[in-house]
Amino acid sequence: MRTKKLLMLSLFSICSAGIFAQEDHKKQDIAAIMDMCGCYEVEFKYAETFAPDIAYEKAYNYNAKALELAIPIIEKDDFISIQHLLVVNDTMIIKHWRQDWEYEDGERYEYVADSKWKFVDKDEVDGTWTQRVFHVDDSPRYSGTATWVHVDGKSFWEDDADSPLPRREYSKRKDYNVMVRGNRVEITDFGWIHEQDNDKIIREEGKEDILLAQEKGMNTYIKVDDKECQAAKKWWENNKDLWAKVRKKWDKVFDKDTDIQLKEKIEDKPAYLQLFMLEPGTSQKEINKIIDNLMVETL
Amino acid sequence: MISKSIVFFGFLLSFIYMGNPIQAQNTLQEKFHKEIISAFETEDYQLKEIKVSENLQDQMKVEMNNKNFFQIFTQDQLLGYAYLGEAASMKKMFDYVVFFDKDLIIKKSKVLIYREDFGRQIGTRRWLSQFDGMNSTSNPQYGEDIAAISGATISASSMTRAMNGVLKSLAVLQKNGVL
Repeated sequence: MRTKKLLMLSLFSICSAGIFAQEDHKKQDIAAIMDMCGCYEVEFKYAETFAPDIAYEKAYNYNAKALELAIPIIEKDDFISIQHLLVVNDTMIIKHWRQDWEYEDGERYEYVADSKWKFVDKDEVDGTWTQRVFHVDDSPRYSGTATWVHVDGKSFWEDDADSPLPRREYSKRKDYNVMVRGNRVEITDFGWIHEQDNDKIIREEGKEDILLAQEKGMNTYIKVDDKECQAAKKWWENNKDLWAKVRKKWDKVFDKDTDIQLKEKIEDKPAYLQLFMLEPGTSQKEINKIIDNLMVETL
Repeated sequence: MISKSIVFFGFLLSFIYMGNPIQAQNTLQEKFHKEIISAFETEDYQLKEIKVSENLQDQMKVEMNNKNFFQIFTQDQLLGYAYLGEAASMKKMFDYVVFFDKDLIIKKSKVLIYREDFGRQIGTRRWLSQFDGMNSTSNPQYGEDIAAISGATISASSMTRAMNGVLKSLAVLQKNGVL
């Protein structure tokens, strides 16, 4: 009888320890994700490294710098959304990318090619976070599901994700159509880094992918005084309601859990401009209409 | 529309390659076409074969004839010349192209197909650009005016010899009024 009690107590202790450990890990995850928020001086660096075809001429290295505010716009226990805003010449603000992080939820849109995304629902998501990255108009870009790792004083998250061409090459390159991103986010004592090992892929339906070239990317976010991003904070205050309406409509699109295809251009202009140029007071009805018009079809 | 001479296709069909010959022909054809566009910045070009007598062939270091040496025109205006050659890497042959401007000065050279893992450094623009600006009076020498490449000695020296041979052969054609 006594042995049985001891056994039960031991089992209870093991289970409790497991639950507490998981909760502790999740707290560390959330802290790491939230550590990406703040005002940063960002340096973007990309260099092509290897290409299987000897005749391939590597592209010039890409270097750029920017001041960027990463602002948490939704903070829940299982869901965090961070909006990035670029500050140009101290006063001009450009809405940049957005990243959503969701705990133990494998539903996401994986990029296929040619502005098509496939809906997937990953199994085995225990302890994982799904990162969903959105374009400047909150349309989908890429996503990945993996576990945050906290070891030896480091906190990092890494995964591979198929994605459209990055904005820096979107209008300049036609020789590949999919970027397989090797994404690694690491929190550092100065801010965080977004390290990338990317493959530039030529993808045609029914054919094997062709690797055109590989690329190393290093985006370094160095934390600076929040005062430097005051203009971005103010801009967001004035525009957040508009973008909440935009997200609301996109969420309805994503909630259908079906594959989607978006138009790349509307009236010969990049499709993202349709939402990018809206006034803060634009109605939900108008926004819905614009987003409906961005869809090629529900596949 | 892209216009290309029938000669171009005739030449390509007659070329002998290692491996699957049809696939190799298509690959070389595509790459040659792409590089002409890149080097001369036009898709509207015509290739014209250059005929070399057998007597002159005997005096030349490399074989240059209507199968591998062409004039490139656009709208009847001479843009330059293209020579397609083969050279040896460690165990296999590789294909390269040399583009000359209308004054027969090297405009660009490029390795088109390389069939080994070793020695691929010769494909870099940085190394190949050493030949740019040379003409039939130049005498490129590996390890002297052409930088040696650690780990690619065989291919790099082979390419240098090949380029030297092309320039010497060009001198013969010029001397004999073919060009």
